[in-house]
Amino acid sequence: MIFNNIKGNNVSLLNRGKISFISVSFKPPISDEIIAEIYKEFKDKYLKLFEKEIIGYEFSFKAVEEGKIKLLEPPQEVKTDILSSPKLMGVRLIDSKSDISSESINYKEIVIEPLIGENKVLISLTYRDKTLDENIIRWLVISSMELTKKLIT
Amino acid sequence: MITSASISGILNRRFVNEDVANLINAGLVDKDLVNLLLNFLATKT
Repeated sequence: MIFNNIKGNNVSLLNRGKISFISVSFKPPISDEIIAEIYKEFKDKYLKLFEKEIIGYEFSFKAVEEGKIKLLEPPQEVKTDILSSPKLMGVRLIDSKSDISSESINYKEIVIEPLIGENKVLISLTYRDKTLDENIIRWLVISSMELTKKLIT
Repeated sequence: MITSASISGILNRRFVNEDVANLINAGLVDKDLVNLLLNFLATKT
């Protein structure tokens, strides 16, 4: 339920199961600087009202980068037609300590996958943690992009 | 190029009418949206 906006970016309430989310969704064009700036206002005005009851934060983004994912050779013993299909090439990195459930407050994942038929890859990042600040947000955006550049040709 | 992004605070409970009142008192809800917001909480909880 969208109820307000910060500089044109939607702020909404969402009830899901036993937990709820107060979110700000960004409208393009988006940069790490814009995200960090809006986050500060969001935290000071909106999150402050729920400060005592917040159990975690989620930051997520999608981005498109030019290039193709490098062809990764699967190990010989598991080589199958499915694994060598170029349509299924992609990389999913999950933090080893992540608790994978919809109500988890400790979940970190990056997915890098090709856009079929285009010389581009899609980067998706989901980062749930008990702490989040402007510096972490900037670092997540920059390091995700750098990691992607290492994985594409 | 980032095409979409969101940041959320996660609460250990669901939103209730009192939360809407707090948001209104803080001047964070447009008057036009108050009824819609209360209706949302009444029907989706």
